[in-house]
Amino acid sequence: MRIDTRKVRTDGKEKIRGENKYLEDLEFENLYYARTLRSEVSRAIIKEIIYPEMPENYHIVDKNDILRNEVKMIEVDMPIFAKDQVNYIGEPISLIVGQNKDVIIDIINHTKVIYEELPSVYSMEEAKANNVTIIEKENNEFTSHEFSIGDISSLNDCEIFDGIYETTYQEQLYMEKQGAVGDYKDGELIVYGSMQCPYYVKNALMHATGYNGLNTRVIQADTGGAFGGKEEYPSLMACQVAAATLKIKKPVRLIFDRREDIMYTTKRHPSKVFIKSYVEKNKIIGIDINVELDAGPYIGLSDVVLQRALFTLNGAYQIENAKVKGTVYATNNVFTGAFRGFGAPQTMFALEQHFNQVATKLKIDPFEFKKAHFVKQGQKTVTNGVYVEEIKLDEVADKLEKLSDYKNKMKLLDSEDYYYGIGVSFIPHGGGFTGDGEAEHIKAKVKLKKNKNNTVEILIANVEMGQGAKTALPKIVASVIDIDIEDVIYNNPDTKYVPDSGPTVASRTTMVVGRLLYKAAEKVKERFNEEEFIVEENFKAPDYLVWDPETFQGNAYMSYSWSGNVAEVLVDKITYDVTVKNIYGVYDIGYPIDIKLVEGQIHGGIIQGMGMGMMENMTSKNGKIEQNNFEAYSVPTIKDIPNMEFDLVINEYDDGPYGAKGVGELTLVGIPPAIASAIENAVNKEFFKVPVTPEYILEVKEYADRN
Amino acid sequence: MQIEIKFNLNGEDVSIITDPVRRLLDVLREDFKLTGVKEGCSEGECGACVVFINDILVNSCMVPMANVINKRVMSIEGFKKTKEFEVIEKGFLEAGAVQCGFCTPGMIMATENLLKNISNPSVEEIKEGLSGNICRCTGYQTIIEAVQLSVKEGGGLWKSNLTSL
Amino acid sequence: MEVKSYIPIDLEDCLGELGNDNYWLFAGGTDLMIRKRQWHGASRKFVKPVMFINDLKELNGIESDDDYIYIKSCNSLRDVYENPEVPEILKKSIITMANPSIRNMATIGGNVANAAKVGDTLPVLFLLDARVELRSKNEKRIRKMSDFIKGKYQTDLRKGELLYQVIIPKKEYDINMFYKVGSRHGDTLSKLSVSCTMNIENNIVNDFRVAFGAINNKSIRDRYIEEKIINKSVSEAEGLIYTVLNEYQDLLYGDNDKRSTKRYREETAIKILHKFLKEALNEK
Repeated sequence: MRIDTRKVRTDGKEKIRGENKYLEDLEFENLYYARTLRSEVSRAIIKEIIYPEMPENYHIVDKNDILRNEVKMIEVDMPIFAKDQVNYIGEPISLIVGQNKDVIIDIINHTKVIYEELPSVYSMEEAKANNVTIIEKENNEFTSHEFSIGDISSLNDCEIFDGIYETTYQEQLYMEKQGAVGDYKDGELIVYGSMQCPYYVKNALMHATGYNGLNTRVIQADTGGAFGGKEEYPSLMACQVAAATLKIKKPVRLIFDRREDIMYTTKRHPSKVFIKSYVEKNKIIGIDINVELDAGPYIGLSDVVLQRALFTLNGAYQIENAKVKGTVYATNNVFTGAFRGFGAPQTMFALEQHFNQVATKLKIDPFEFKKAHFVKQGQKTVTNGVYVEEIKLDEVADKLEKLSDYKNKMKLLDSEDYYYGIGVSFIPHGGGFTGDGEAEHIKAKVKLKKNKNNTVEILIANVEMGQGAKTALPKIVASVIDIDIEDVIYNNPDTKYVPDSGPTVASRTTMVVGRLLYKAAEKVKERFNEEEFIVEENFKAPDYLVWDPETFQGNAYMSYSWSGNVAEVLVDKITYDVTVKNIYGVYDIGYPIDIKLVEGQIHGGIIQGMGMGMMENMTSKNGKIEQNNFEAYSVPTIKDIPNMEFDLVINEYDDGPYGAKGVGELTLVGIPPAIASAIENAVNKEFFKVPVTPEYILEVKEYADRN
Repeated sequence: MQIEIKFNLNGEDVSIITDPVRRLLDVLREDFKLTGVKEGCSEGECGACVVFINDILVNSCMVPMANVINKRVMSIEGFKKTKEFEVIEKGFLEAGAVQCGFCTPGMIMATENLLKNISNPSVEEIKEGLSGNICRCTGYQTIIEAVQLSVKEGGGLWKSNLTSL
Repeated sequence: MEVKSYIPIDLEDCLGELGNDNYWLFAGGTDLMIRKRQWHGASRKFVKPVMFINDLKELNGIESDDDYIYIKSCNSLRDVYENPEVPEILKKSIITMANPSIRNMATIGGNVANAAKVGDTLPVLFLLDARVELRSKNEKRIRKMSDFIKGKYQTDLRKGELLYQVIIPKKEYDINMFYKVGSRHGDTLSKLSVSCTMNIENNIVNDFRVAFGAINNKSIRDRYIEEKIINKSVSEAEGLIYTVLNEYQDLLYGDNDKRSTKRYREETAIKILHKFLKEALNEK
C-alpha cells in the first residue's frame, strides 16, 4: 500500500461492535478481587491497623508481602504499600483480596486504622514557607533547576511587564478506569494492565519482587484511553497485584471505581509561573521566568515534567536574554504525573498569555506581535542549543491567518447579548524524550518478524491506546515493504515477545519508533524472499544532538512540531458563560502518516485543551480533590464543542518515518492560551489563571477594579 | 433476597435468579458475559453502559433488575445484528470516529436512539441526542460526521417518528 | 449484604406494605443508584429495604380535566415532556435536565420527592402553583409545593406515604422563561435557575411569577413581591423593576462550593430576572 492513501482504522470494527476486550472484560479462572484500603488522612504515622477477623480465603496484602516495598519509576521514594507513614489522602495501605465483593467491602468497613496525625502541607505557598518539611530534602523542594542565555542583568532601558500565571489540576478522565491483573502461573509472574509502558511495569515488578526478566511478564490489555494517566501509575498497581498473586497463587484483579480513580491517581501538575519581561522598541528582548510545580509527596515523573516545562520555553519565540528557573515542590496533596503536554501546557499558557497581555498593553495586535518574535532556523534555544531544522512558523502563521480570517474577525463587534473575542497562540513541542533520554535511557529497539506466509509482525513495546498506533505503524511497515496493511500483524505488547522500544509517551511513537520500524522494514523488504527471519533496529541518536544532562545545555529535543491556533469566543454578557465558536489550527507535524489519525489527535487535543482552558476546574482542599465524579468535574460534552478546522504545513523531518514528527501532545498545548486570550479580548480584562470560568470572569470584570 | 427474574435479552427469553436490587449492567456483564456494555462512571453521566429496554435508551448502571422484569433488553451484542447497525458502523469507520473505543458501543446505541426518533437530525439535534455520551478521545466532531454519514447512506432506513428524544 | 426488597403487584399492595417498614421508594433510580453506589459488581449500599414502584400502572399516565393536569409520579421526565397538556415552562426545564437516557428513566415524582437543591422541576412547579397528592394505605393528602418541600432533601412525606401525583392548575402564560446556568452546555446540574412568566393585556400586567432554583436549599417564590406589579400598567411596572429586584436579592442565599460561588449565583440570577422584566415589559 501507499503511505498517502487513507486507511480505515484496523481496530475500528471490533471496537464499534463492543467485541474487543479491555482489562475488565478478560476472563480468568478462579479470579480473586482486590480493593484498596486507603489512608483517610493526608500525613500521619500509622500507629496500628486493626483488621476484623478474616474469613477463610480472604487475605490482606501489604508491605510485608513484597521483597522491596518501592515502586521503581525514576526514583524509588514511593512505596507500594504505605510503610509506617502515609503522605496523602488515599495512599494505599493494603489490598483486601477475596472472591465476594460484599465481604471485601465489609472487611474494609470494619478495619480501623489508628493514625498519629502530623502537620501537612497543602499548597506550594505552604511548601515554600517551610514551616513543616515533609520530605528529606530542604525547603520541600524535590528538585530545582536554573539556566540562562544572554544577560538579563544588562537590560537597563527597558519597559518591564510582569505577571503571575496559574494552572490547576487536570484529570485525564480516560473512559476506561485504571486496572491491573496479577497472575502467578508455573513460576511465571504475569501482569495484565491498562497501560502505556509495559517495560516500565516490568522493571518495577522486577525491582519489587526480585524476580528476573525471564519469569516476569507484562501483557498490555486493550486500553480505553490514557493521555499520560497510565504512564507511571500502572507500575504501582502492578506491584500491588503482583504481591497479591504471589501470596495467594491465584489471579488477582484490581480495578478502581471512577471516584477512586479521579481522586487518587496521577493528575496534571498545578503550576505557578512568574514572568517578568523586558521590552525595547516593541519587542521582548529579555525574559525572566520562574516555574513552580506541585508534585504531591512523591517525586515520580515530576522532575521530567519540570524539564519539559522549562525546555519548551521560550515557545515559538526568539528572546536573546532569558533567565529560567524551575522548582518542584512536595506537598501532601494527591501526587501528580503525566498528562498530555507534560509541563508544556503550564509554561506555554503563561508565556502565551503574557505575550498577549504585553501586546495588548503596547496596543499592538497580538498576532503581529507574536509573529515578530518567531524563532528561526539556526537560532539558539533557551538551553543554548541550536534549532537545526527548518522552521516554518511564517507559513503556519500565514495559513492560520487565511484559515481563520483573523484580520477581518479582529474587527468584529460585540452583539447585544455577547462580547466577541478572538485569540491566537503559537506553540512548539519537542518530539521524543528530552535531551539524551532516547539515547542514554530508553535505547529503543524494535523487531520485525517476517513469516512463512508473507505476513510481517511488528514486535514493539508501544501500545495502542486510541491514538491509532495499530493503524499508523502497520501503515509505515506496509508502505515500505509494499504489502497490504492486512498482512502486517501488531498485537498488544507482551514483554515475553517484544523488545523494549520505550514507553508510549512524549509524542515519540510515530516519530522515533515509527522511524525504527521504517528502517527495519527496509531491511525486511530486501530479504523478503527468505522464508522467515527477524530483523532488529536500534535507536541511534542523530549527530546534531548535543546535550549535557548535568547543566541542561544543548539541544533539548531532536525535532520540534509547531502549532498555530486561533480561538473565537462569545461571552454571554449576563452569565459570562463562554461559547467557543471556532477553533482553527495549523500544524507542522512533518508528514501525516494518516490524515484521519492526525485529525483525531487535533480534534481530541483541542477539546481536552478547551477543557483545561475554561471548564475543567479541579481544586484540592485540605489534601482532598473536591470534584470527584463525572458530574462535578466538567469535561466537554458534544454540546460544548466549537467548529474545528485545520490545515497542515508539510515540513519533513529527515529522521522521522516519511518525515513524520510528533503530534499527540502539541494539539492540546495551544488551546488554553488561545481561549484565555480570546476571553481577554472579549471582555477587555486580563486573566491569569485557567480554567477561565464564568465565576472568574465575573470577579475580574466587575470586582477587580474595586480591590 | 433472590428471586427469579424473567426478561427478553437480545431476542431471547431468559431468566436468572438474583437480587432485584442488582444493577442490570452487572447482570449483563457478569451473568451473560455481554462485555460490550461498559462501566465508565456508574452514575449515568458517561453513556458507556446504555442499552435499550422496551426500545427506550437507558443507562444500565442505574437500572435495578426489578425494573427489568418481563421487559425486552437490547445491548450492543443484539443491535449489531441489525441493518441499522451496519449503516452506523460504516458511518463511524468512514468518519474516523473511533479511537480508544471505550465509549463507542454506547455512542452507537445512542445514535440508533437518535435516528429512530429523528430520522434526519440537524447538528443541534445530533448534539442533543448524544449529549449523554462522553468521549475523551475524538473531540466529537467526527462522531457528528459519522451520524450524518449514516443518515446519508441509510437510504431512509429510519423513518420519521416521534420528534423528541 | 442482603437487602430486603418488595415488588408490589399494584398500588393497593404497595400502600398496604409501605407502612410496615422503613422503605426507600425506588422509581427511576437515577438518584438512588448514585447515592447507594458501590464497587462495580458488589451490592448497592441499601441499608433500608427497597420498594420498587416504577412500573405500577396506577402511578403512570397523565390526565386532565378543565381545570387541572394530573401527572402520576412515576411518569418519566420524557413522558412529561412529550405530553401536549403539560405547560411549556415545565417542558423547558425538563429538556435541560441531564441527558436523553436519564430523562427516559428519571421520574417527576422522584425529582419532587427527592427535594434536591438542584432539582430543576421544583422551581417551575412552585411557579405553577402545583400541588402534590400523597397517598398512604388509608389516607390521601394534598399539599402545596411550598408546604411539601421543606429544605434540601427534606419533605413532608410521612412514613407509609408515597407521592401519588403532581397536580398543576391549567393556565395560560403569555410569556414564559426557564433559564438554567450550569457548568457546561450539556448534561449539567444547575448552579442556578430562574423561572418567569408574565401575562399582559390591555397594557396591564395581569400576572407575574418568578421562582429561583438551586440557589437556596429550597426553591424561592414570593407572591407578595409578584403582586407589586400585578394590576399595574406596563409603565408603572417598569418603574418598579428595581424595587422588585432588590426584594428578590434579599431572599437569595447562595453558597460557595465546588461548583460555583455565592456572588456568581446571586448576582447572575438577579441579572437574568432583570433582563426578563425589561424585555417582557418592553414588548408591549
